[in-house]
Amino acid sequence: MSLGAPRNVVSKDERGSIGVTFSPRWKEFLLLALAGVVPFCGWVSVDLAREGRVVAANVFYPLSMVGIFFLAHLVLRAIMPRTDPLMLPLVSVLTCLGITMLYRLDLHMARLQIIWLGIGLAAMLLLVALLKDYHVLERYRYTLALLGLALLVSTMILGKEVNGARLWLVLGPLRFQPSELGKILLTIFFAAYLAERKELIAEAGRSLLGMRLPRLRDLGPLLTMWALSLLLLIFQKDLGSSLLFFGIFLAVLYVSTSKFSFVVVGVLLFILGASLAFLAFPHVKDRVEAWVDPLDPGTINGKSYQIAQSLFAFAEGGLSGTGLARGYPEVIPYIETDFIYASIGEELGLFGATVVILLYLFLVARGLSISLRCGDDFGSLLAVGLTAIIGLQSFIIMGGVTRLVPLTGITLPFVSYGGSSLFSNFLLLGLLFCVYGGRREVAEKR
Amino acid sequence: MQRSVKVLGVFFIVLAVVMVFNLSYLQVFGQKGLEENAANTRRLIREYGIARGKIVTADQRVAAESVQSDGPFKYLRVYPQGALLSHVVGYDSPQFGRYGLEEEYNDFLLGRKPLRSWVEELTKPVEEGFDLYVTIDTGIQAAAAKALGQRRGAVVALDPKTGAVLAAYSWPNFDPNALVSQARDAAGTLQADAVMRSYNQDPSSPLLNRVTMGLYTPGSSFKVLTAAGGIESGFPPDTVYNSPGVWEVGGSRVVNYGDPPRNFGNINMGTALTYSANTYFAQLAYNMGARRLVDYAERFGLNQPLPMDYPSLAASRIPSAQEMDAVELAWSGAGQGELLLTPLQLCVIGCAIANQGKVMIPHLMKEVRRGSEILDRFDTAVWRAPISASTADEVLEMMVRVVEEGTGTEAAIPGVRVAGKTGTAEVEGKAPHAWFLGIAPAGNPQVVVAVLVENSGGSGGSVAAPIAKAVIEAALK
Repeated sequence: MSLGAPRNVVSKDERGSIGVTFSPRWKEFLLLALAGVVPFCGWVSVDLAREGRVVAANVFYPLSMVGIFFLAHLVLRAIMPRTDPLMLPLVSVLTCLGITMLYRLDLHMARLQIIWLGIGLAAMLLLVALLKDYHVLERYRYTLALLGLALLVSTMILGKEVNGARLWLVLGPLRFQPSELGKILLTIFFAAYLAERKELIAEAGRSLLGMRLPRLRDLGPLLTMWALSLLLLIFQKDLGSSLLFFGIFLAVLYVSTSKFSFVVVGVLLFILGASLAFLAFPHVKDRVEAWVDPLDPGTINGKSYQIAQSLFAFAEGGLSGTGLARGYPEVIPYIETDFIYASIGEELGLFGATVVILLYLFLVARGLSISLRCGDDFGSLLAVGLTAIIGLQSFIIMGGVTRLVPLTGITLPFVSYGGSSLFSNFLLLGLLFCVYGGRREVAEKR
Repeated sequence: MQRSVKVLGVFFIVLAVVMVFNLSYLQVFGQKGLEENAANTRRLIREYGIARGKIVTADQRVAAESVQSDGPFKYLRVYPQGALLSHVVGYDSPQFGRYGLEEEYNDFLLGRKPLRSWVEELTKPVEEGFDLYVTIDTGIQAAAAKALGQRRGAVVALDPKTGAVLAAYSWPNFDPNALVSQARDAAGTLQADAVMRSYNQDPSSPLLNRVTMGLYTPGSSFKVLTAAGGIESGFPPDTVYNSPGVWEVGGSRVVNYGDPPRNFGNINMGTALTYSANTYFAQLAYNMGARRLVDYAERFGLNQPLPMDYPSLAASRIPSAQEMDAVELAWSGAGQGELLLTPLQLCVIGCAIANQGKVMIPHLMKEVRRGSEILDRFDTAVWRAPISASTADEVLEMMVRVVEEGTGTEAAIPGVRVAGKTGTAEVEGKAPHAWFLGIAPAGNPQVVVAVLVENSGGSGGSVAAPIAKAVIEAALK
């Protein structure tokens, strides 16, 4: 394998100024190096705040994170000649930030997360290496969809209830949250199905009140799959994932058909579903009430405790934050998973919290640009669906802990603690790489 | 399809913008309200995560210290001296806030003041506060507590040369350890809640520091001020007034004590003070005029909070000159009427007499230390000089006679020249307050003591003077 010399080309553009351009691979390398500064700064400032000195032995943490990413970068260079140069550095900032927060919150979790980072990146590379042509996925869409549903159903039969929701499969010391992987499998299905049927869905069928209704047989399997997954989630009380599935479905449906009316109908359906859930399920009602008035003295130490404490954390952070290990995010339950964004808001302030939002926005922008540059429908829709997962999931939880939307438990992609979450999100990243890389090969074949 | 991907992109940009706006509200614009919410325990956890500095008395007794606890608060206060120093030291409770020195010197005790170096500020969060060394001597304080016993009242002792508060005792008092305790009963309610409620509902106001907040008619003890003001206004100690048992003024009467009211005949100021002749001081005040009497009272500190490093201070009161008619003026000269003084104020008046007319700033703080390193110390200074040194000495000599042969003989200590003034303040509908202002030794004053016993029923000479004597003895030991 050859890394090749840096193909830095000194070029003169029309205006006569001299600019240095880097090949995408070296761009990725340099950006990763830049991103690597984050965990080292985190290590130094956490140690200073906690011990008053820098604990040299703890350099293990930033070093291992950065090391793993560089290793992944080198392997990626070898197995895939072209990928988006921004994705991996963006994800590395988010992941390193997450592990730095864990390093500050719970050393044991930080160590586990680093292991999961290694596993996740390895899985991503394996996927990229094996899946030379992502169109294979299109062929196995129903298999994948059934697999996805099976994963969701599995928790109902084999699952273990944790924190009032049955979301986990427990296998000895390992706990796995199947919905994390399920969301990717179902997204593949949505993309493949809609790539095939989008014209039929958009054009065929009768018109009602000026809106064209698609034929049931065109939309049927899709709606069935979607409703099934949604019901499963509602009965498992995994509201966050339900909302996410719904959002992904709408995003892919809208992009494939370009029909805004579907979005309107979808949102109306959602409002209907949400109202029914509000009436039918006490836990949904609690969430909504906590959202409407989290500071109600009657519930502030009960139902709305988490969200109120989260808001207090953000207020504590102010503009520039308390500094790492100088705040009190520990008072919030589930701070390492669902509420990790509150600890970022508290200790890194509005600046840090805004940077996180921008990182996700950049990631979404790169994902959508992959979709735009992809030559075929399935690839485009897959990229949109996967990107929507990252964008919507991060919005649902960041908006949830900041009281923009009702709080639903879901992880912050790449940042929250959680093996299955990190693992699944790196697979998602790998799929995006595949779509990016596959594009040219397809084009060349043509 | 390309267009709808771009629309989706715009949608995500909108989401991001909305989130940033929302964050800006939470973290900057709406921050204050959230920070101050009663359920926000962050400020408390932050403050109770710091090992607060000790409070140490002049005789090196620990009055307050922080000990580690297992609950939500890492450190909690304990007060080894218990109720003895309750009003001075106060309390520091997560539930009820702070009081006393714990409130006044909070920033020092939390290590926020004096400011640390930049390097320290950036690299090391505050974990330990600074120690506060105070001027109170538990020996003198205990003597005051013992002498006052279970009587509502206050005792305060100052060093007139420095303004240092040697003792400040108020009864009834409270148990600070019960207030800061985090113990909960079987039902999970904080036991300290019930303790606080009982204190608040107690009609004898145990949470009130009578030394600094209690306002009482001073009675004859105020004559020290009338005498000093009179001498300064051109009525020397040998000014003689005929002082009958009853003196008619402005259609009303000023009467002496005794039944029938005692007739002193022609007496000078010294004799009048020694035997506490109301009709003499009524005439003196009348001849001085309201403007001058009020002026001197205010020079000594009335009508304004005293400059002490303590958070709960009431201003002693005298009506303005315009509000005083002849009767009010005459009675004020004898310490009755609309006058209201705190025991601390009387002690400050005594300090001016004892320290050649100069009042030093009364203070409780001696030093702030980190370990053995002194970070800050109270720089003693003259607060004001209401009267001349010669006037002060003349009044002091008159006060020596009070203890030697007058109303204050109960305060006499063998081998020590004690100066003093008694007061028996008439209160409408209730038993009179007993007062005593003592200074010792008269040749070189080391301590000034003010004693008040609320509605004691007895006279200042019989009830308050022995208490002052005990405190002076402890202070001169």
